[in-house]
Amino acid sequence: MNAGALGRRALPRPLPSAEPQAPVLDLATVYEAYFRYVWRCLRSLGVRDAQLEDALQDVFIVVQRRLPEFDGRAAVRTWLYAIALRIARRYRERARREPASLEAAREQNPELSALEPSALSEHERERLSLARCALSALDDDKREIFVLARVEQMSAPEIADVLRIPLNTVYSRLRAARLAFDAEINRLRGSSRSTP
Amino acid sequence: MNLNDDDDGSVFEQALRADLPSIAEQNRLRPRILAAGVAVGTALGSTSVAAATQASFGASALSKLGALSWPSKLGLTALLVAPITVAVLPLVATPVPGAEIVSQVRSSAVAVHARSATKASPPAEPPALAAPQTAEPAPEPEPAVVNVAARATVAPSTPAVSTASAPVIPTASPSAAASAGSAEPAVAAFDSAPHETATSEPAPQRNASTLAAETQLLDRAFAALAAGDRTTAAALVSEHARQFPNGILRQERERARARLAHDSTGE
Repeated sequence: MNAGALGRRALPRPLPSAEPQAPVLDLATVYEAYFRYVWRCLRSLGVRDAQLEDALQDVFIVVQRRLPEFDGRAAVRTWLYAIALRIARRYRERARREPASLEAAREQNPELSALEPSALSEHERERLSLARCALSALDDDKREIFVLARVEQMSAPEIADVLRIPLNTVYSRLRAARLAFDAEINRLRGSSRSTP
Repeated sequence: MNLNDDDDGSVFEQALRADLPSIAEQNRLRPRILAAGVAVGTALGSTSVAAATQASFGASALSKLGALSWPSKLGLTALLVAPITVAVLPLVATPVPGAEIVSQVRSSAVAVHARSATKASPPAEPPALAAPQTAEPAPEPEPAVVNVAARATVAPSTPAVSTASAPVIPTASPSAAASAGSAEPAVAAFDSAPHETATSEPAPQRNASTLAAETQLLDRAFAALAAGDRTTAAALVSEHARQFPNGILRQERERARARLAHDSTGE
């Protein structure tokens, strides 16, 4: 259970501050172990490619600040996702407020992203591109829960804790998100087939 | 019920899961992100220490020092790694992965150390790691960094610092032990670092002093931002731009600028 993921709620079993088994974490260690997941999470959550480095830096700045408070009661990944989720929300909000421009529109289109892994085959790249397009069509609530559950593979209680929503809402919202995602995929595939 | 036990998801979900950055990307961003961490951590350390010196000694001071230890810890780690890097790099035929960040963090840490040394004499000035020297009585919890930082400017050879709380960067420890040849590699390496840079590496020292000045300016800017003092923050950022238009920390300056601009839009 990850009730301590956000470092706020009390748990039944209080940990002494100097518990010898407490994980020893520092920024470099967290970076090495989790950078890739944070990168993927931010990207999936809709941070523009052009803003991705800034968002990553913001996440790790928060990590730096909050590490002394991290007591090991939550999984590090869950804790990081909670931070990344909030940073991604901020970046999405900021992007919405910015005046639309051709460049911004280009950046928002995952198909035009310059960050697609070059090691992917054309087929894989096309699949990823389609998936990201479908993801960007979801509303924020559905997108967040879809990413946490289906991409980052968190458990329902963990998601409930990170998003601060009831467990039942997690299930119902995820069901709706998967339906919407699949429908969008089908729509995109249909439209690409019909395109000459 | 597990959300993911029904299947592995569609191929599209799998594609999203496989969308991870390359190691090269991770290596490319490491210096920037960790250097920013050092800068921000140092700013936090300044705040904590200022508060700690105003409080009475005892439990509250100890807790403040506990909060201070992380940025100092990273600085110590970098200093620990620095002489090893200098000694080992020429002997290694192939480049060591992460050597770049080691040198970057080392520079930052030297800057932190330099600041600590300069702030030691006028304790009235709040910033950075000066206060631990005045708050020295703190005995155990995580004194390694604090005590070593204080001693390095005064008596480099003084031993007796517990290694239990030495910072953990996996690559550092074994070589540190080898180079120091003692049970207290952190202390030995830390103590030798300033002298080494002062005597035999004039060029890096120049870089370090520039970086120290840059770090100081931006630390204060970030601290002002954190305190909501946008005017001071803007002035410090401008000062950094004037003094170091192409400085090592120019990206951090732009980050500070972006935050200033962002704050002014009302978030």
